[in-house]
Amino acid sequence: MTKPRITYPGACVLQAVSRGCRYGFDVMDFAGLPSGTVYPILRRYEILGLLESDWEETDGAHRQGRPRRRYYKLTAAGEAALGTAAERFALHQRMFAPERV
Amino acid sequence: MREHRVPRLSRWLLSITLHVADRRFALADLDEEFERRARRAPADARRWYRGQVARSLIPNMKNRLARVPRTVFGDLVGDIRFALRTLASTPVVGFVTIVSLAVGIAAATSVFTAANAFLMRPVSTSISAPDELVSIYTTAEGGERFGLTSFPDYVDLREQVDAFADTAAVRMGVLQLQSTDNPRRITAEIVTGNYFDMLGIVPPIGRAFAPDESVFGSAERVAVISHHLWQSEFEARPDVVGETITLDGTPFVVIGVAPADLTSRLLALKIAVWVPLGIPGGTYHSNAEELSTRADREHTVVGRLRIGVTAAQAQSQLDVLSARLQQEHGEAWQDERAQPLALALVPASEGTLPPDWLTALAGFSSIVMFAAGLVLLVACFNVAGLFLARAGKRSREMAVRLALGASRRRLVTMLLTESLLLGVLAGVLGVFLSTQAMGWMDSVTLPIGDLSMDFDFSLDRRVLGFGFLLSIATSVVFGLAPALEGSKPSLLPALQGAVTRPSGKRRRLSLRNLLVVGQIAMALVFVVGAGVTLASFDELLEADWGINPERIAMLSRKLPEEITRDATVPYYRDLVERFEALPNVEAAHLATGAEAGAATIDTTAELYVDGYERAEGESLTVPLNSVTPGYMEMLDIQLLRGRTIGPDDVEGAARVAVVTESFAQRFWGDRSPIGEQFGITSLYQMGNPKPMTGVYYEIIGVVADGGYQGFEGGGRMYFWTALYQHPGPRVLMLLKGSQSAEAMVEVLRGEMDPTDFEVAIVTPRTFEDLISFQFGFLVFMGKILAGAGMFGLALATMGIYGTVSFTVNRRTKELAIRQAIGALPGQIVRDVLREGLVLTTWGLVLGLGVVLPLAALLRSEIEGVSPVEPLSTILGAAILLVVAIAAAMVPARRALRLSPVTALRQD
Repeated sequence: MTKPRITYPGACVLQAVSRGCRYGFDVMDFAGLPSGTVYPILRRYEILGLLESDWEETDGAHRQGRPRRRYYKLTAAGEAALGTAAERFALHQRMFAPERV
Repeated sequence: MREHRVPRLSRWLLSITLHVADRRFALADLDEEFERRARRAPADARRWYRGQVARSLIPNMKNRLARVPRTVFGDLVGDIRFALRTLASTPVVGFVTIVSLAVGIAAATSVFTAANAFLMRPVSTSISAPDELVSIYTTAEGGERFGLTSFPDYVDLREQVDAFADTAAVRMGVLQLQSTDNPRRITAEIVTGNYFDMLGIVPPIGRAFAPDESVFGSAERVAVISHHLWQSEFEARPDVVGETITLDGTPFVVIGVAPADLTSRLLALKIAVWVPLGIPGGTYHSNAEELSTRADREHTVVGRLRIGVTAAQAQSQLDVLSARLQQEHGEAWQDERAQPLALALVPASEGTLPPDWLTALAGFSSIVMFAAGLVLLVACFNVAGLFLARAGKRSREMAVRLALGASRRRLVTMLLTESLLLGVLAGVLGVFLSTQAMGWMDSVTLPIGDLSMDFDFSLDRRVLGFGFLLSIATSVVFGLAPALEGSKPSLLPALQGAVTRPSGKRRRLSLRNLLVVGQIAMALVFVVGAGVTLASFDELLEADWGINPERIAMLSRKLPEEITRDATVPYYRDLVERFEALPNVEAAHLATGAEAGAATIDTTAELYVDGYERAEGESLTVPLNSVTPGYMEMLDIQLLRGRTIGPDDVEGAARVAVVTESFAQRFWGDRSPIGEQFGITSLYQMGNPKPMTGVYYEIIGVVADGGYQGFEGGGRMYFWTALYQHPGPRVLMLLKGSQSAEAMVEVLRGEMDPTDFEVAIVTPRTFEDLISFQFGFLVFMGKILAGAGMFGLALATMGIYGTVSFTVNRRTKELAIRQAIGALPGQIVRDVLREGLVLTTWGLVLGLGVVLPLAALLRSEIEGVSPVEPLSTILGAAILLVVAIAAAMVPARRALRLSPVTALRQD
């Protein structure tokens, strides 16, 4: 597989997922990107193998009275891609420097 | 459970643009977040959601296009991509096109919706089988003037006409709502108990009136409240049934909440509460006396035709009833010209408005629609101009494509795709702007009389769809001509980067010139139109009423019940003295009404004068005002002869009256009327007739004519009598301040008893405010018209600048070469300017040629339209001239600064 080119928004999304944002809106909220940017990236990176995802258990969502979420997490390839991207976007690295608790 | 509604249009837009694979969870995530936010602040949440959608549309579309395989739709996708890139490379052109079109579409759809709300709004969706409904009016014979119907007539109709499955009577009223934080006057419909059942409306919460609680004469104090009142007064609590609301000082039990889209049948007015007719003691003016008086026509009658009965059959039954009623109730069944009345039926398919209102309103709204249409036309011109310009600029690109073997069809498809894309984007923006505009209009309350009225301006989905299609059609039609033109350049000159104008371009250039002329003409129409509209309203507001309302404020009062007939005058005198003694009060007076239409406590009298022969059908009903001594001086009413009401005009003395010049002229010609007498046969107070015999007035003074009857008043006849000679239970308290009317409003406010609902007929207001209140609606419409004018002017200016500057820009090479071979810069600039000036002049001439006859026509058709104002016209023309000159000058000077070599190398 060719090495995926990570765009700036893409790096933000990876960064967000690596900081524990697990589903689409959470990522949007953290990265400050609109849905039209975030969801295609999530799907593309999943195809590229940088991310993997799972539907949330139905019961959990129903108990809280909300729709089911699709949860994402970084794969090893994703970690690597994020590392490369972080070097490329140094400013971006600084922006997200304080750990998110 | 989801409780808040996601903005549906936005959600739909998002879902169609999202990739299928993302759609489900992307929408779900956004919905979840929306719900979380909506719980805190629903309005913010909606805004947030729209923002999200707006920011996602372009990336979504780009993503989707990137994924379509270049096979079947290959060309199309390529075209769209190319169009997006072209658009991005000339953002200004794209921006101007999209904004022009969007504003045009928004103007057209908003105005259409407003007109729709007034004229032909579909009835509430909660009404079952609305086609079977008919409105029944009492008309003058011959079907003119569709009026309301009296309650006794309604009862007869209900009992004697069997063409209807059911009929209901509705009386509009205004009630004082007592509420801890916001006591106010609200619109009410006082209805027969079967009203909701007849319409087939089932209240979503609670129920409609039950037969046993709406028995006429012993109806119970129960109310169905509007969806809006339910939200504002009861925080939309589902357990509202059984609560009480206090209307006009008496408690009513809430039994149900009406469907949200139920409005009055007339004018889509939002009604706040429905109460049954025939409550003992009455509601509003709907009391036993009114309900038993045949001449008191205050009810709208709505009926549902029996299945199988046609409107014509029902009408013929009504004719039989009318004939019988005419015979039985002679005088009560005549209009003021002694013509017999008749009942007339209007099917719901012909609208819920009386036909004569419809005609009047249609005239007015056609003007507004014309203005909106013109805004749209200007937008189209802008688009056409820009497309033309672009097609011209790209002739070389087209030539290269043709030379490389592209078919003409491919080129036209490509250019059309670009227009289509712009059309779609403009349509989306236009629809968005319309929803915003209508949201704003829906939230505006119009002050009419002393009451704020809400109209239902919710946007019709069909109108939106129409606007969207219009946008696409416009861009395609206006993109087509340039596309056809642009795809057939003469190859050689275009490839060589022709300097001269080849024959093929002559036509295109003249089309462009035509556009400029048209735009300037339309811009002038806007300038003049806005000027005339504003001047007309100013004139209306500044009209000479014959009174000086400065520094005066008023408040209505009702005589306390414990005051006996004999104690009335002393009570009133005390009141006046007490107020006169207050600091800053220059004068205090009582009156039964106020001139210039300021207060609606109206009294009219039916007159007779000995020796005066009443002409056939002549009405001698004249409005009057009973006032305290000095009242007429306070208002600076100009006395021509004799004296005004004085301190000696008291009970026991001869009854006196001061009349207007027209009044005197009518009965006594040029003779002095001082000392003459006239009699009164009946007195109408708030529509209730009171027969009188042997009441004579002696004329003691004559004053100049004025607009005492207010805006609605037709005649100039008016008279004043002495309040202390025949005091009534309802008066207006008027105070003139030594400094300002506002200070007097404060004084009067201190006098108000918040629990006394009678006070609310006229709450403390300044006289001037109250005069202008009668124009609330007109002023609102005038603002919309003037706004449309300003919008149109801005758009046209934008278009003129764009087209002219583009024309000159195209000549950069020519100008540079001319300079290189020795033309003087001054000469070149003069040349360019001349061309601009010629076009502008043609445009102005054409514009004046259209607008002057149009203004003259309006002036002859509608009373109160001001003549064309030369100043604003000249100013507008000057602005257009400056814009055109600047548009020509700026690129010309730039061209001259370039070295010929650079200019020639330019593409």
